[in-house]
Amino acid sequence: MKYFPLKVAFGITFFSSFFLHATVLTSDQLRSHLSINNFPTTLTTLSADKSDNNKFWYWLNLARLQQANGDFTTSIQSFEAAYAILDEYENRATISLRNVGAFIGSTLMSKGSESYYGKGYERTLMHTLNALNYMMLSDFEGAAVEMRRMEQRQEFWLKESEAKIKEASEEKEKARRQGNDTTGIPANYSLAAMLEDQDVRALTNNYQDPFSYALSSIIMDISDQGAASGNSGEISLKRALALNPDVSKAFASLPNSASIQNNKMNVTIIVLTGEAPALKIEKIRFPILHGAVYSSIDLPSYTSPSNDISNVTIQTDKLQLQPPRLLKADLMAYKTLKDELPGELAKSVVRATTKAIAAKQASDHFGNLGGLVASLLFDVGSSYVDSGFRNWEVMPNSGYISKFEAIKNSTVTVKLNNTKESFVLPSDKKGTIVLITYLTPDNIRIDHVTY
Amino acid sequence: MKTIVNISISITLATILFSGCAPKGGAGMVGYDSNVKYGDAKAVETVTADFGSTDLQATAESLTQSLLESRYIAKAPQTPKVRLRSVNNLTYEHIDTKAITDKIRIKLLKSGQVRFLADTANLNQVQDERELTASATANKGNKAMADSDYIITGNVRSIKKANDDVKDVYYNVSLELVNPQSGEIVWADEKEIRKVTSKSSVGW
Repeated sequence: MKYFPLKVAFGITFFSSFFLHATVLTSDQLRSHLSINNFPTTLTTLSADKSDNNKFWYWLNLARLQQANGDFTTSIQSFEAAYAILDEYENRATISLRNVGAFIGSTLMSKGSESYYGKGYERTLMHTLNALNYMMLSDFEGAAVEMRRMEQRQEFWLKESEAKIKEASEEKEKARRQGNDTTGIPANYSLAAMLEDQDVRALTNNYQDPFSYALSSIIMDISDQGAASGNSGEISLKRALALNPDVSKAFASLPNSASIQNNKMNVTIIVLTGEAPALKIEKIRFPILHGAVYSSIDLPSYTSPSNDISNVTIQTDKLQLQPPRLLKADLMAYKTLKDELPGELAKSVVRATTKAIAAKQASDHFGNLGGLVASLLFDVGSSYVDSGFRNWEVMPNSGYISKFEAIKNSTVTVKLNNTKESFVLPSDKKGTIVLITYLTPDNIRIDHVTY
Repeated sequence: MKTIVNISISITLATILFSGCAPKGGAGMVGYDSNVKYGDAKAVETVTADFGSTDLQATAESLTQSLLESRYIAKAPQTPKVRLRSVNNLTYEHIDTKAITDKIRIKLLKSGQVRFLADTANLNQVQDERELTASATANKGNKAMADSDYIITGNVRSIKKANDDVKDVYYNVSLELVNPQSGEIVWADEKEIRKVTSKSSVGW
């Protein structure tokens, strides 16, 4: 009867999860129903389904789809709902019973028993994308507020990351005391090679992206807040360049010529494409007790990005531009995972050991069949709980920015892989901002605002 | 005895019956049993550390008083014509800065010491004001509308700091009175606000 408390804990987790994770749209359903024919139903279903409205990822997914539908005001409201959840998490008591409970649950039972509050890059990009909402509503001051919030938000992420590193070190020591080695990545972990990819290793950190900072510099410029805010636009541009020198290719001017001096305008084109990798829990099962029972190491992992493109070209009668890919959400996700994997691995080994001990006790009391049933129960139960562990699954995977000068009333053509979209510039404005959202090859939306 | 009991029951039933039909809370009151209550509009509000009604009132009060005491307003030979321009929001919050300027305008107008010109949205501060004056000279009526003696501009800034136990927010609201013809800042003042929230050590 020694294992009784563990069984009770497992039972409570297993059965409560049935009630807590009743979602209408699964991660796969959400990501695979974004084409032009399915998109309205997907958005309606997601908006109507409030069963996950206490989840950070729900509001982010909804905000993104609302933005992709041109509903900028409702998208702002959804982003604000996501902020409220994150703010509550960030301002919890120093010793929060919920945090302690989640820690115990994730240490003993399943990674999926943690609540997901986003990674650094998601917390950064929610403000960046919300800034785009304000821009599309011609509220450049509001957009500037979002960019300042973006930077502020990073401070808590840094503190949280430091705490995680400390926690990882403790878990590693705990695993070592149990006789487990957690220094290497399991060979059959699907992302093992990806985490060592050159592009992932080349990222400066896992939360700052050049897309956000380049956009911030443009917003400060348009909102006329550059000087009043201590040249924050220039500072943002310098940061963007430090993160990716290709940012310089995002800006282009026409030659100074008297004939066109009064006839040119600023054009900013922002392209968001595809969907970033979705979070999943990957199980690496291994037999114990001569194969009679088994346990598993469960590690966070990612699906591949979807519906992304590889090339954006912009053409006017004077310029041909290839804006650099400044937002690389997939690489940032992998970089975060790479940074957090030592801690996740140590915790996972502790979980696997706990389950293995329980399965062995079941085997001792009820024979091999009892041990196998216990293993299966742990496996199925944790798989079910893990299925509710989701991230911002429809976050754009790539982002491109180009700010250039063009002749008023001329035509601009944007090529997204093989798809061409053209529009005519206004004749009486100082500038325009064009937001192109590419969800799938057949679901592309273009919005614009002038100033 | 039976009669007394019957009368008592009748009165009780009638009371219950009529109390269900009568409007609650007396004549002219709707939603008496809802949770909505009127509060003191001037009461100190500390619901969150964000910029709130108390900050708005304190800012408007302090800066208006300071402006009215400045010699450019208090000792002006003629009641000066003033235009309130926008106050830049340089904080981490979506503050409606129009609420600040509206409140200041009302207070200044009530003082009778200044005259206000209608807002001109979407013009760039002092330079635009000068251009407006120059372009309006052809029409006397337009010139009167455009020719302000002073403009008021400003900024709201905030600095946020936090550690594991305490969150500190500092707001600085500054206003300037500018002569649009010379570009000279003739008066400036600020209102500083500090808000501190502490985290509980143990909680849900």
